[in-house]
Amino acid sequence: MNPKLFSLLNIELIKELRNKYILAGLLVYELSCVLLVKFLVQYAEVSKNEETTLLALFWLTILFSIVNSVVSSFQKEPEGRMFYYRWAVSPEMFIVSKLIFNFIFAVLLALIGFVTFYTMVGFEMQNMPLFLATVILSCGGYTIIFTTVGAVAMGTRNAATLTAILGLPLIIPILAFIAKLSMASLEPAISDIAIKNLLLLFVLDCLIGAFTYVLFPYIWRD
Amino acid sequence: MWWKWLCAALLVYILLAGMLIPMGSGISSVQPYVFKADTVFTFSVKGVNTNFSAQSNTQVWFKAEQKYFCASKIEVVDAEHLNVQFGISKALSEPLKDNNYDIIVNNDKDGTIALREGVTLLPGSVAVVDSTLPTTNSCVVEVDNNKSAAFAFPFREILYESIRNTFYHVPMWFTMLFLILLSTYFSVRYLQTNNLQNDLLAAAFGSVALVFGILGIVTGMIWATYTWGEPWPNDPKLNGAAIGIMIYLAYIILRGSVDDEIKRARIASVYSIFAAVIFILFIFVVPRLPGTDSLHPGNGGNPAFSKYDLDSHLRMVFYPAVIAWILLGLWVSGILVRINLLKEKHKK
Repeated sequence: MNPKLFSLLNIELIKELRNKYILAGLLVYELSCVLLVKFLVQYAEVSKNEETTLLALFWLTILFSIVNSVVSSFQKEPEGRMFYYRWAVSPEMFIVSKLIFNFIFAVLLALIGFVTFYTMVGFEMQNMPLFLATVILSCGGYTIIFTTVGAVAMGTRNAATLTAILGLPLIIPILAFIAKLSMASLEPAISDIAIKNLLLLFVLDCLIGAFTYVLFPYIWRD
Repeated sequence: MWWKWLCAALLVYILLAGMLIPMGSGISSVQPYVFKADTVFTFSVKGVNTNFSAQSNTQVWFKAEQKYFCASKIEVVDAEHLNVQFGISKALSEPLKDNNYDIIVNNDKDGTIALREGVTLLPGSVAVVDSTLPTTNSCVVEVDNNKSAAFAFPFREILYESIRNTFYHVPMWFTMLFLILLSTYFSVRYLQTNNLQNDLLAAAFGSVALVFGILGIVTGMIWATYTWGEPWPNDPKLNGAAIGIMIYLAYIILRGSVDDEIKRARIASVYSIFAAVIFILFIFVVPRLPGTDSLHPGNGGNPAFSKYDLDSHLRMVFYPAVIAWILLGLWVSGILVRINLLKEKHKK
């Protein structure tokens, strides 16, 4: 083999092995993604129709666009501006503003995703209001979780990957609701169980939102 | 110090008692497992660790819908094999909606043992009807003792000898949950006090919880392979376990990605609390959502362990096992804390 090519490969390998945490992070990232697919597919109690596969793909598309939007919202802040924020506003104010903005942004992204997915790929949606309510509530959950872990990962080495690694295992409870609710919206009538799940998802959003509100000042302190 | 001795002694005890106490007696199979009305069949019953003998007063019944039917003739082949002649007339079997019959054997040594739904009555009759079969049930059920005299773990179909995994798999989860709660508690303490020692404790408990989680998954997967037929069936509890492991892996990677120890302590504590809240919600709320089933005992219509499988002999090993594994978890965490303290000292 060409010795120069070999030493280049060797350098790549050494670079990869130098930081074991980044390597482990990539592995966890990959495993989390596999688990996500498994859970989406399993909670929908699949193999009943092909619609569930399309729904799983739809939710993964939405999920990763929201992850990217939240990650970039923290990377856009230069270090100097954070100092200014610390001086000018309270941590609660800061996190609430981030949550509200990221939530609106996520809902917009999800709606654009839904319209394009619906027109280009298409699935048999029978109960649009229920599905849209699920989209909005799950965007709320995604936003809260990824904003919190984004704040946690802010200022660490490779914050972008870390945000995903920290957040992906945490959104699985929301996925359990999403899968059940999107299966319910394949049927025209709204069942009591669907309403109950929708309410529970709302309660879950509020609860983790409250924890973010309480915990964020501790991250903010420097 | 004394509790480390207690832990070691208990671990030796559960290893010895868990492996040496024999399996109780039970019925493993019946051949043939289907039969038809109106003729006498000879069933060969295979027992495990049983003491069938002509002297031990062996009786056999077939049971469907709370009704007992006596076997017409019982022949003891050896201590673990019986040949039982049994037939049921159409007049007796037709009113019953349940066509699965339990086989119940009682003798003086083994007590009462049974194979639930061991044989199935096929619809339709046979060509030559045996008219000597009784048309009314005159079976008498009278036993001297129900309990086996032997000191043994209960015999359960499907589980068999693997019931001993109760002393390893189940306590692993208890220990993991206990350590996660401790880790979360010390994370909260760190945010309250800013004392780095609390963060060190939280990190150690988190890492050891991860190890116990992985052990729990491995023991569970081995168990599931032999009882449920596949290592990873669809089950909400398995998902909870997988999530717990991913969360604490992420926690360790987070800790490894920050160099400044005060900053590391602060963000790791915040993540640990946030993650624990979601994790605990997930394992206690999601399995109770409407329309969720689980293969685990105590979920989705399956009877809980305490109701069914935890008899007094199992308890004698199971409770010490829970204490022993939790103590071991604390012990290992303690060592980890001391190693980390030494490392910090060495750095300075």
